Amino acid sequence: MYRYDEFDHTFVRARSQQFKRQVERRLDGSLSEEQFRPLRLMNGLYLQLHAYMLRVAIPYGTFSGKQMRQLAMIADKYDRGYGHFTTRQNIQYNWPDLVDVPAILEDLADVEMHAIQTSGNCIRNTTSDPWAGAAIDEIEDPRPIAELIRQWSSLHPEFTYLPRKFKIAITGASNDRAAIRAHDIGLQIVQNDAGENGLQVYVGGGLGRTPIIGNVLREFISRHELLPYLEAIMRVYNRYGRRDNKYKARIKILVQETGLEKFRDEVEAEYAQLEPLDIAVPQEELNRIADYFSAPDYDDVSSSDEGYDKAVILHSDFAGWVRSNLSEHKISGYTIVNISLKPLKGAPGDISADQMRVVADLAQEYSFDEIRATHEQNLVLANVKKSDVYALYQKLVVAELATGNIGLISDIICCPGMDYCALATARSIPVGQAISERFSDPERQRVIGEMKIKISGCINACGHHHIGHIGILGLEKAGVETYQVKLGGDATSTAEVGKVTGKGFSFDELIDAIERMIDLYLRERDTGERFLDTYRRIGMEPFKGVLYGTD
Amino acid sequence: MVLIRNGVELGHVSGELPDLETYLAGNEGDSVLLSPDVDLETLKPRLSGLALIEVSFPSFTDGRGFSVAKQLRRLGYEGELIATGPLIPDQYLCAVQCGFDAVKIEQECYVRQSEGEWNEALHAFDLFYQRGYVRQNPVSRNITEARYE
Amino acid sequence: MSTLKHKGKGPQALTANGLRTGPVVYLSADYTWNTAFENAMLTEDPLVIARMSEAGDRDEEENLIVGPYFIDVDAETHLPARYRERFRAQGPSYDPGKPTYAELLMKDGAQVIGQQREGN
Repeated sequence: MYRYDEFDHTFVRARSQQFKRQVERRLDGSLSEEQFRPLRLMNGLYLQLHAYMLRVAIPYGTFSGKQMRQLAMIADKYDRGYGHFTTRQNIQYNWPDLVDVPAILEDLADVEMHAIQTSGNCIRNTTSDPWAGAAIDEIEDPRPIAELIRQWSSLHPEFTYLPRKFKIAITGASNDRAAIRAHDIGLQIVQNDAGENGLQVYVGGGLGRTPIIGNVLREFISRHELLPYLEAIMRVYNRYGRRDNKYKARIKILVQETGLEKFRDEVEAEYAQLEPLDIAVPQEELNRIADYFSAPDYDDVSSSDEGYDKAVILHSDFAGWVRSNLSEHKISGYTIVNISLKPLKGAPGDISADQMRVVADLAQEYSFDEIRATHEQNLVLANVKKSDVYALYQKLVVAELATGNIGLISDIICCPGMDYCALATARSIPVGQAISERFSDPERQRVIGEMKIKISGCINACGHHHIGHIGILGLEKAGVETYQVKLGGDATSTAEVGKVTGKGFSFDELIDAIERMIDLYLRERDTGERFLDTYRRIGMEPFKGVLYGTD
Repeated sequence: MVLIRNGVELGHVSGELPDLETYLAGNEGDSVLLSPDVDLETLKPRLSGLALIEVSFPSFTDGRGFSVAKQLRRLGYEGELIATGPLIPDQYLCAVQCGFDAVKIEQECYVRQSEGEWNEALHAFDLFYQRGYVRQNPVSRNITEARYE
Repeated sequence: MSTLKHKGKGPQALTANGLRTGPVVYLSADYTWNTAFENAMLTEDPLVIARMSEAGDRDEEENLIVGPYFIDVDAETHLPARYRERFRAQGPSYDPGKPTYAELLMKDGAQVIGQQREGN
């Protein structure tokens, strides 16, 4: 993974020092709250429903055991002993004091981390495929380009006071695990006719109040020219994106109102005026960054392991966990281990400091000291030898991290909702917990198969409800929580926004309603069909029937 | 209004510059006040006659002016370029790096944030990741270039 | 004049967050800010509300608190009337192994921000 050189170190320290002064100036009144607010947000610091919340960046979701240990230390020393992994591969602390944040940033800088641009109307953390470098369907590891974008977007002099937040995601695989078409800019590594790898650029995707699936802006751009091309997009957006209404300020609205063709013309016109070669990235710099992501030193092991095979036969709990939580690795004899942060009765994405330290140890012992955070709020050890998996599993069991539900109905994406968030209109964590509880039988979950339930506690859609197979949106109606249901959303390469079923449900009605839909699916499905496939085949009406009793 | 250049307060300035329409309508004058939604194509033919341009910032969170400055410099404008509006010291570097020579702020903003803070802000960083935004005074460096010096 | 507004439906409390450490606080009868809702001053008296308003503005200007606003309080239950404000007063509703607001208040006691002032 990437390591800071002296320049990166100096830069992050300077940023931390700058924020320290900003806090001092806020406390002595030189900065008003109105002036301080965007500054603290650009450093990941919110004032939430109950307290301050600090969001720490995990660039493209990759971090080391040492960094995880420091995150655990921060959770213990400055917070309440836990952290929360978000849908943008970051981690947030729910209870820090403002006056402690400068010290936290120094502690982060000690391990090459920061909170730069994890919020605010600027370019946010670039997210990526959590299986990067290990996936079998990968053309190229996307992380060197993600790191390039991280550096380029950090404290950008021109693009730090944008109309609204700006999110970029990149994938190097044919199966999109980074939801790139739900981002302001999505980048897909592709190969052109000449056999060179470059980027296909999507623009104008996003969730929020107006969910839109992004469209292709450019079929191919070389990696040298990517930053100049991004600069052209950003300049058009910064100048012409709407600033009169924050709900219409994202680039998706600019693209929609301008029209994709005309928007493309504007970007190309701007791009033509740049002198790309002056600002393009030199090959030696691309190489320098790429070297940090070269493949780890894999052992030459056989594709099957006797101990592993035996453990699968002997231990049914292990076998169940293997079935849901392991993914195929590009190197034979290795596997991708997905660690679920969705235990029964837990809050999706939450992890205690002690558990963080366990994961750090396991990464160091079994996975080349590297951890990934996923946008589905889980963790990944991407390079584990099959012969180590059973030992690793047993340690996960002890740490209560061995929930075997990846991709299943209880592997729910869920925003913090009314329990923490100042914007929320309803709770979402307890909804997720109630669904997990209803479907807690592992065998029943396995029978239901792949299922993406996503819950947002307000219209801003941080819980990605628009792109869940079942999406749930919590609203407040006359002082009571009401939950609207969406069906048929999809975050992958067949991306689609789900459709609302009809009127909402009370908290108590909702879980029964979901169960009726699952039962319908189980009755109706053809062999091998996922819930999403059945829905696409039979359509909305039968689901409405079981939801509202209209059949 | 208070003018700040190179981190130093240069005293009060008064008097408004002609807006773009007025400037284009007349045949004289070498200064203009641009709004951030300006269409630079309309200004292009008359750009060479200008010695002073101010770009207005309606609020400090409205960053359009930074791109306008960048585009003006790219069009070859070499005269004085001033950012005018309720900017705060924390944005000073952005302004300078995008091509502004100075900022002009309301007296009441200056009461809260005075010379020391503007000067400090100018020196908060001397290394940047972006190419094409290097500042001359004080000299800053692009990290990518510095890596291979 | 105060920029703080209230709709005046039943008893009012004044809430904010502490600037330095961030907790939810309520103005109490001695005009300090208290982290426990049970210590909040509840009133329908327009004169007292006006004084509370001034206190909110003043303490925000003095960088003690952030974003003060009035909330409606249910006259019978003496709890915040709005559902969101009940969450704000009570803390997160789920607690797998984590301390609840009530437990934290019990453990640490209510925190007080600001200095006592006369109520008139």
